[in-house]
Amino acid sequence: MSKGGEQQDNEGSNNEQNRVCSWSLPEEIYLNIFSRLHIRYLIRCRCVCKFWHTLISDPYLVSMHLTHPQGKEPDLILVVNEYEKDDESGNYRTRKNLYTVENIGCNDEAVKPLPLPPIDLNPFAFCIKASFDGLIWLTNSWTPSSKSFYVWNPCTGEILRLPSPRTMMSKTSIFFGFDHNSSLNDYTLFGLFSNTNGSDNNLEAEVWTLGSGSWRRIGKVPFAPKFSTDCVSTVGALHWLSEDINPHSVYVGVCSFVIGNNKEFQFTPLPRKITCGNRYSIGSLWGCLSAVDYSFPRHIQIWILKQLGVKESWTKQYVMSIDEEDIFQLRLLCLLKCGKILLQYNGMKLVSYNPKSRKIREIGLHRFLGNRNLDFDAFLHIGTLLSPMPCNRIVYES
Amino acid sequence: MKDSFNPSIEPPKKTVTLVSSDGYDFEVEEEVALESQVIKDGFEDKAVDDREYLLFNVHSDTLELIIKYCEKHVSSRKSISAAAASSSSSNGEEALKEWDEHFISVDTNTLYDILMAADYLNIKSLLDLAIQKVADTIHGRSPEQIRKKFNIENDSIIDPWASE
Repeated sequence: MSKGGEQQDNEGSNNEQNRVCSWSLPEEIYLNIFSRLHIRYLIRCRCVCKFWHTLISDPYLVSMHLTHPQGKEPDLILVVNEYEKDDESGNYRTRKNLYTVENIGCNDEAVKPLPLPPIDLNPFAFCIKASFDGLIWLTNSWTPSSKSFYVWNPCTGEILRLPSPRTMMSKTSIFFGFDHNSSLNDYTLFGLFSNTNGSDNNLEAEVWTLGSGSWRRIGKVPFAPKFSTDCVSTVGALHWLSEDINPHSVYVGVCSFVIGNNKEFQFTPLPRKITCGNRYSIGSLWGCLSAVDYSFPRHIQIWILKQLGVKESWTKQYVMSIDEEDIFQLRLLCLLKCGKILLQYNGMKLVSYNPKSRKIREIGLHRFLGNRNLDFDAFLHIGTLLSPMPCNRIVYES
Repeated sequence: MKDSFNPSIEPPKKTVTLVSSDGYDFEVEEEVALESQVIKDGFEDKAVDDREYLLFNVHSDTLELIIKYCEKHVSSRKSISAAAASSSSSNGEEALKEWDEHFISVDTNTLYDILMAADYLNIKSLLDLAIQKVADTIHGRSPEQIRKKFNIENDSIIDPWASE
């Protein structure tokens, strides 16, 4: 085996081989070692010996892997839209290809193609809805009637087909979100649906949990998504941009769905009153909701919300200048472990911002993907061995 | 019988004796020995006179390395805090990191011995250093190379995802 990036062993038959050292470490030390490995090498380690295989299959390792402070940086999964001509009809269509980006923020990014999951997936129509803790939620088509949902772990290849939510029969989906409920150690998928006539009063939500393997109706949703259908997850909550209309005025802000809370929907106005032409998006930093204001040319403000529902708890965290006259779309992807902030803007630019040096560096994908007009969606991906299968899940008592 | 106490001489630094599994005595300063949480815990329980620790699981070769590590960390911590107190710039932490890296660049068997001793003596920073070294060693290697490196017998079942 001599793949690129592998280390070479030159020791040969030196003295090390003479003394038999069995490497029988305590289990918790092994788990500590494994939790620091990138998923690609962890999967390889499974076939070193039976004992390692058993240890690596331990569900406890999944949560260790996600929380280890010395763990690796997250990867990105890119859905790259590539235009091609259909030979039969002569029309152009968009083929979607998947790639992973590794070593983000380390100045030696590597982009690798990611094979599509082993199901009958339409490469022109499938769509990634959400990504969380190594699991990816995807649908196979845009047309509502034939839509199927899947939860896929691209590291292990495991894929689970979900039943359609009941609300889907009468309504169309607007967006989906994915989050973790730490008190139950379970994963929640959140779907928001509306009537096709676009009336806001007809919004309904359903959630699906990995542990239960079924959909649960949440009922009416008071705040409709506005400006975008991006859904951001923070610890225990999902958020989207919305507005609160009352007899006196209209507030633009964020609607939050708090998982496992009786007061499920909360509204927080944005830090600054929004006027026509203002551009805002939301993201997540340190597990908190953050708002990104890119209304002004060449500069971006990032705010953090300390307490849900409290407008006064917005704190301005960063002001960065960027050499770009017109930003019409911007997404805050994540805060990397090295302290840099990862952003995507105008659909095709991926940059990291270093708050210490105040420098912005473009992550050049062109040298991997060719020098064409790239248009992609980026999803954060922390590879784990988490299984999407309900029977394989062990739900811990907290 | 104890030596008679002479107040005119500066009191010598308190020492403890660590005895390795193969019977060698190592006299070290108390604060160096206290880097080990196990010795620290035992120290608080023990009578004052008892200053000898039998370390049944640690060979003299390994103990020598462990003591070297603890001495370095105790002295570095002092100079780092001294530099911080006088607010003079120091690259002490960088230098210590470099020293650590050099210290842990050992062959696999020694690494195993250090790992086991650091776990037994509960020296958190050293255990962390050794664990990271093992993780770095695994990184980028094929299962066969890992088995060879750590001398693990191949009793493996075939794993369809192992090839990549």
